[in-house]
Amino acid sequence: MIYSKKFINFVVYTLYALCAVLLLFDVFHHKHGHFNFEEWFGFYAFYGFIACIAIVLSAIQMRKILMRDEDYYD
Amino acid sequence: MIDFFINDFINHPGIILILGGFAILFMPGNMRRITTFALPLVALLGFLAYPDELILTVNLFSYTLDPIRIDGLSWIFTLIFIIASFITAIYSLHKSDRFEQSMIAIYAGSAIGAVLAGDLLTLFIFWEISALSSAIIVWLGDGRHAQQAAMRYLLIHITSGLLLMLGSILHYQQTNSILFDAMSIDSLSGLLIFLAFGIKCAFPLLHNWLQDAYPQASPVGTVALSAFTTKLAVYCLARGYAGTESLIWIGALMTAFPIFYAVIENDLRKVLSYSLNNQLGFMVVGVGVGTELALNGTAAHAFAHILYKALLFMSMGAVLHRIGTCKATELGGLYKSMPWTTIFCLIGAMSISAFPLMSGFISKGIILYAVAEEGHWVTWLVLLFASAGVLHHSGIKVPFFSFFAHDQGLTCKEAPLNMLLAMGLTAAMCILLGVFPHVFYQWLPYSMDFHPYTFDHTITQLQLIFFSLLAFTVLFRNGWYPPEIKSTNLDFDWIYRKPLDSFTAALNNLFIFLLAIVQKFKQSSLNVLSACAYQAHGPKSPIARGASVGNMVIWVAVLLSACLIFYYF
Repeated sequence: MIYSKKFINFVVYTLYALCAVLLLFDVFHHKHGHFNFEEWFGFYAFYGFIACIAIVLSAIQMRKILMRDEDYYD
Repeated sequence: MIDFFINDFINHPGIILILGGFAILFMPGNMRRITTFALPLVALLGFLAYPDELILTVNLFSYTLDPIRIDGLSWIFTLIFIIASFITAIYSLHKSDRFEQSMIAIYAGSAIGAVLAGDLLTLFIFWEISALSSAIIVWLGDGRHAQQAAMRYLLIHITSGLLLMLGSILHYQQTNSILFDAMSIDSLSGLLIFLAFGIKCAFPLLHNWLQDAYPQASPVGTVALSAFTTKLAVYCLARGYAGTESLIWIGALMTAFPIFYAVIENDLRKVLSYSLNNQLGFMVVGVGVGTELALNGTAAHAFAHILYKALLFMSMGAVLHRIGTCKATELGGLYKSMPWTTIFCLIGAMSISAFPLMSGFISKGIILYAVAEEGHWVTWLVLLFASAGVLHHSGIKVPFFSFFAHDQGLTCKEAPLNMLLAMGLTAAMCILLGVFPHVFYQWLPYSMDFHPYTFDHTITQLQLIFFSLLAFTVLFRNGWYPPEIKSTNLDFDWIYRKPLDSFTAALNNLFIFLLAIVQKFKQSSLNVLSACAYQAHGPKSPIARGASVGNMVIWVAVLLSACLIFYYF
């Protein structure tokens, strides 16, 4: 059931909608943080998004240097 | 005197578990199961019989020892260690492994003994028992790889023990006291002890024993291992080195770098080991900041972390138990066969990702808040980066690739009932901590005024989580997410498993070569010596050339004649 295209699309679009709603809070609500940059619009959202993309893209590059066969140490 | 000892030590939860662990070795099947299950409960009763604050002082020869010290900090660590040993005991009931069940009880007991130790000598003794018993747990894993990993594990932990001993001796020489209190890394003794703790805490570059050994133990063994050693080290750092600034940087580094490895690692228990390392980083930062709020954060996070990490390791252990592998390349679609395990794994994943209403949210929040209060903005940004990262590898990768992702057509039975019970109990605790944080906060070492469920904290955390999820979705749907590949990824252990190994092999060959030369020289000089001796003393040598009896008689006759001629004249 969960592998049907319909269900996957439903999950993905729900996620998009939730993200949009969460970002909307930043429009109407003024955050109070310890640091100035915390109060920027969508700071947490963009920081999380960019961090994850950066982690995955750099991990792909890491593989080029660090990856060996499974039985490398045998 | 003996009464005094017995009364105080009979309730000692660590000693109850260690003695019980030895007794388990000699028990038949069902009795062993019942004892394994009951031991942590007895230990809990013993512990609760102690007052909230207690220091037991004993004079041994010229030393003053505090073998038991209970205060806010040691109380909460002891409590969570007893809970962890109880969960592990339930999780182990389906199999009847005499040695493993025994060693797990001894290991848990020694970790508790070390937490309750108020002096360095008692700490050292329990430190070594925990190293040895945990190495045996690794050894009891599956096959040759587990045994080799156990030897490497033991070597590293013995090194940690030696550093602790050396540091303690120097400390005693300098201060004339072996009580375990706040220390400084400015003195050599303080630095040595700091390093001993650092090895056990898996500081960067000292960390590989963890990722090397934990995935090699049995499903039950890994759950036990994940709870004690590293959190004992966190406790010791909090006790001895609170406010040491270098810990902030060390901790920040620890939170960040394992994430990259976790993303490309194929063995899901190894992914969890990297993520364990990353979670320790948060606690170490808390110790480095060193304020009461930060130390509360460290204690709370250690408590919450032991539970959700055990839950994640238990769910992967259940998969390993049923399918026989934990490699992401070979898993997928297991939610159909193991629905309960899937749910429990998701609760663990949500807890570690710090979803609101889950334990991680109310514990990690304290550390981040304390870091921000002290104005460490770079560290704060690193921790936030690591929070997004942990969601990525432990929150998404582990459940996604095992239970969902591509349906591999695997079918199996749901995990055994005892495993489900252990996971269910732990999952319930993860949720209870998240829902009733203020009850939990009362158990922390210091009183504090911290409210996790402010509007800002909840919304910003949800933004971080959902946009990280979004990033994963975008990458995965576009085919940019790195595929799972059967591989070994080089980490710092490469240094001692390859070049250092080759170096020692070369050194060994050099010694063999030198020994051969010495042997040869010895042989040839012996040969020359014996040839000379042969020449001088051999059968044909001048010395050995014996005069014949006839010659002797002639010469005697000549001499006698000469004498006669002399007398005659």
